[in-house]
Parts: sequence; C-alpha cells; structure tokens
Amino acid sequence: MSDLTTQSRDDPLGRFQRVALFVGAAGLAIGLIGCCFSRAQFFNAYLYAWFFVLGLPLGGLAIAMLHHLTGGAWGRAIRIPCEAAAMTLPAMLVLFLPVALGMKWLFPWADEDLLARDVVLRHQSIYFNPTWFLLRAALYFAAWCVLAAVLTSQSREYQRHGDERLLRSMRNISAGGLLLLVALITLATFDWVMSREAHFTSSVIGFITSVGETLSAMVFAIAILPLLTPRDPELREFVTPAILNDLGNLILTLVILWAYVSFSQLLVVWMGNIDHETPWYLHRGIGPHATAWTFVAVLVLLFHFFVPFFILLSRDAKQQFLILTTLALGLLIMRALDVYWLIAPSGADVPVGRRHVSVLDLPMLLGVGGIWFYVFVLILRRRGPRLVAREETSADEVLAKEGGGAGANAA
Amino acid sequence: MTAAKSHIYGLLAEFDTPEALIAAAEKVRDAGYRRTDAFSPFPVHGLAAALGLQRTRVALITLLCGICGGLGAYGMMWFSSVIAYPFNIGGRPPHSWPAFVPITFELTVLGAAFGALLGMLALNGLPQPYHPLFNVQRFADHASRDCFFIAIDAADPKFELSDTRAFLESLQPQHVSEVPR
Repeated sequence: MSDLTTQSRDDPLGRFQRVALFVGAAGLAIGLIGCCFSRAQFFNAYLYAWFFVLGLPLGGLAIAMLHHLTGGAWGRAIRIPCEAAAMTLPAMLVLFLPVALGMKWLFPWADEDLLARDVVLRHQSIYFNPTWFLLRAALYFAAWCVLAAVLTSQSREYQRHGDERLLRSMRNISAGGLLLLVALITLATFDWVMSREAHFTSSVIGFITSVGETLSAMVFAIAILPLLTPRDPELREFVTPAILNDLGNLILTLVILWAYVSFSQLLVVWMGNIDHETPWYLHRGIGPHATAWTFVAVLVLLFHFFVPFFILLSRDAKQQFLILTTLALGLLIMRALDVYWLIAPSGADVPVGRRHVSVLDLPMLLGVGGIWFYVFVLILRRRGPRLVAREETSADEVLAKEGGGAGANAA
Repeated sequence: MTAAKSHIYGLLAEFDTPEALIAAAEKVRDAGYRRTDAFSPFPVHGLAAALGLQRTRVALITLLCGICGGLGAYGMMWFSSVIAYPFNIGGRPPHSWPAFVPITFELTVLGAAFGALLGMLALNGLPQPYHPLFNVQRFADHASRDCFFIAIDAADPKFELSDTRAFLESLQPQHVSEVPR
C-alpha cells in the first residue's frame, strides 16, 4: 500500500481522483444549499444527475457480460475498468436515497393533488405507488448488485488462475444476466423516467436507455485510458491501433444503434399522432414550435450521432489514441446532454411537464459524478496494478491476429 | 520499350510456402516494383502490406454514392410532398421529416451498395474471361491449390526483362517463368 502513495505524485489517476472528490463535495454542497430554497429544483436536478451516473455501472456490467459472451481482444483493454464501474452499484443504491425522499417532487403519481385531479394517474396507481416503487427499486438493485458481485469475483479468480470452469460459469451467467439486465433497465426506466409523464407510454424507451448506458460506459472506459496507461505498461503495450480500431467500431455500432432505436420511438409517435403520446416530444422541442429544447435536440442529433458517425468511418481517425479518447470524452458529455433532454423536460412540479431548467442541474451532475468517480477509482485500485484482462478464449488469439493485420495495413 | 517487352505480359515467380511468398513480396516492394500482384490458394495474412498495395478508392466511391442516394431520396420526397402535391395527412405538415427518414436511409444504403459493387468492378476490371497468367501451365494447375506466386507486370517502369529475371532468381523461388501474352 505504501508504494501507492509514493506513486501517486506522478499518477494522473490519483490526481483526478482527488479533484473528483473535491468537485463532488462542492457540487453536493451547492445542491444542499439549493435544497433550502427549492425542493423541486434540487430533487429534479438530483434525479437527472443520479440517473445519468447510474448508466456508467449498468453499462459497465453490460459490456463485461457482452465480452464474456463474445470474447475478442477489444474487451481485454476495457473490461477491468468496466467491472470496477459495475462494482459501484452498491454506492448508487446509497445515492438512490434522495430520489426516494423526493418522490413527491419527481413523479406526478406521488403528488396527492395531481393524483386527485387525474383519472389516468389514479388508474396507474396500482403499479405506480410509493410502496411498490421502492420495492421494485430494491429488487432491481438486488439483482444488479448480485450479478456484478458474482461476475467480478469470478473474473478476479480467473485473472489469477485461469480456470476453464470459471470461464464456462461466467459465460452462462452472462447469457442469462444480459437478458435480465435489459429487462430490469426497461422496468427501471419506466419507474424513474417515463412515469414522470404519466400519459406517455413507450415500450422501447427501456431499450433506448440500455443502449445509451452501454455507450456511456464504453466511452467512459475509453476516455479514461490516458489516465490508466501510465499506471500499467502492459496496458500501454496492449492498446495498439488494431485494438483502438475495434473499440472505435464498437462506439460506432452503439452510436448507430442508439440513433436507430431513439428515432424509431419518435417515428412511431409522429405517425400515430395521438394526444397522449405527442406531449413527450412537444416538451422536448420537437413539434411545430421551436423551443430551447429544440436547440438541445439538434445538438444531440449532431454531436451524439452525425459528427461521431462520420469521424468513426475513418480508419485513420479511430486508430489514433488521442483522437479516439478525445472523441470518447466528447461523446460522454453528449450522453450527459441526451439524458438531460430525456429527464429534465418532465416533472411533477408543473402540471404537464415544462419544468424550467435549474441552476442546480450542473452542480448536481458534477457532485454525483465526482463522488462516483472517487468511489470508482478506489474500487479500480483494489483490483491491483494489472489492467489488461486475461485472455478468455483461444479464438481471442485469432481475432487479435486479424486485428493486428488491420493495424499493420494502416501503418 | 524493347521488342521483347511487348510480347510478354511479365514475369512470374513461384514459391512453396506463404512465408517465402511474404518475404519475397517485401523484397519486390523494397526493390521499387509497383505493378505487381501475388497469388495464393488462401488469404495470406499481411500479404497486402508486404506488397505495398495502396488503399483503393472503392471506399470513397461508396461514400459518394451513398450520399447521392440519401440526398436524392430526401429531395424526391421533399419535392413531391412539399412542392408538387402538398397534402394534409393526419394534420402533419407537408414537410413531415420523420416520415422521410426511413426511405432516405434505405436509398443511402442502396446507393452505397451499388457504388461499392460497381466501383469495385470498374476499378479491378472484372469480369475478365482471359488473363495471360493462365498461359503458364504451373500457374493454371497450382495457383488455387498448393503454390504461391508473385507476378511483375512488364508495364512496370522498373521492368527490364533480364535484370528483373535475375532479381527474381535471387529470391530463391521454385521457378521463374516468362508469361506470354
């Protein structure tokens, strides 16, 4: 342990961790001050920040399971950080507390006045009521935490001994776990996002969230590579242009999939043109009149889809460490904006949506994000100095070799 | 241009292992030959790099055809529903852009696919019923079975029949043959 402190002087990860703790504490302090003035603004800003940050552990879990199932050299470069992210889920459960406390400012079904006035809300109250809401949240977190804990402990064991039986076990758990994860994220999105506009229903919204969260975790794991490579020379050697090419292609795939499922929901609502569905998009600036949210939507369309799409088409761009990690950082910021566009325009404090943007939104994002990053680095350090996951299949070798060829061609 | 050069297609060297082929291809590339090609019964990893093949323009053609397809599709729908025949469908505006997106996407893919296929055929000259290399009997018999070949085109600026032949011999091939036209 003592070598960690001596090392930390020229260790960018340690520096970032300290900055994150400071920024996180400052953000939360601003949030608490804001809470004295406006409960509604505080809790809405908090829900946004918490729900965005939750995407990192859930997406990390999804990527770890995907990699157990598919293998491939790309995953060896990012799986250990993804597993460390997944292991922050218990911390996210603690951070759920303000959401539980602030229900009445967040969800129309938890507001007595709204409930009395709205027949749809009364119909929904058999499912959307505080008791069931909390029980479901407990259920989601129990399943997520167990999945993360079991997979990560087996992966650590495998890292040490390379036991074939663990490999099979991790694959079996991942196959069922991935299905369970998408199902639970869908239900959780109904609870924490969709129920904020009681009249809107979409069965694909949970899948949009799942894809978005996987993308969040993927770009997060790539964006922090410059912080990790100085710690582990093996990782520095491992991240070749061929690996970057694969990671770039995976970002491209997720960006396309996100655009596809997001647009398909808009298209269905647009073609249906039904009065209980369209307000969702009217509140988000897509409709006959442009609002400030239209500007946000256009930003998301441009920088969450078109710009990364065209950059990632180029092999020269995605094989450059600096370009790919910068792009990943930019996409992470766009993920935060996309979740903002998803969550902020709804709310219980004004009858039908149109919550005003709060000055607390950004401090809360930095607050929850900073604290989360601090915990993430703590967990990552406990994994030890080696950050390249052990090879899982013999097919890996073949894939790595093929990837190496692509790199050699470009060089 | 010597008379000898006009009636031969080029020179063909034969090797018995993929490793020998790659080693030879690298030497051919380093010697400055550009109009070269290699033949093997199965894909040999790293051969394209060893030969120093440039990336083709198929990707650019595909991109341009895809963009044309997308713009054409969107423009067609915009013209027909905004200019030529505006029609109120379920209260939506004539420029109902979300409804245009699927077709735009489809025609982008169609344009790109045609661009990739036809661009590839245009650049590589296929289908090609006759190729002089098949005049070499060993090539016809073994190129798709168990031997590895490198051909240097007589049109290569560095090609000089006797010098190139001596150079190929120095790579320790199984054979070097002149390929008649």
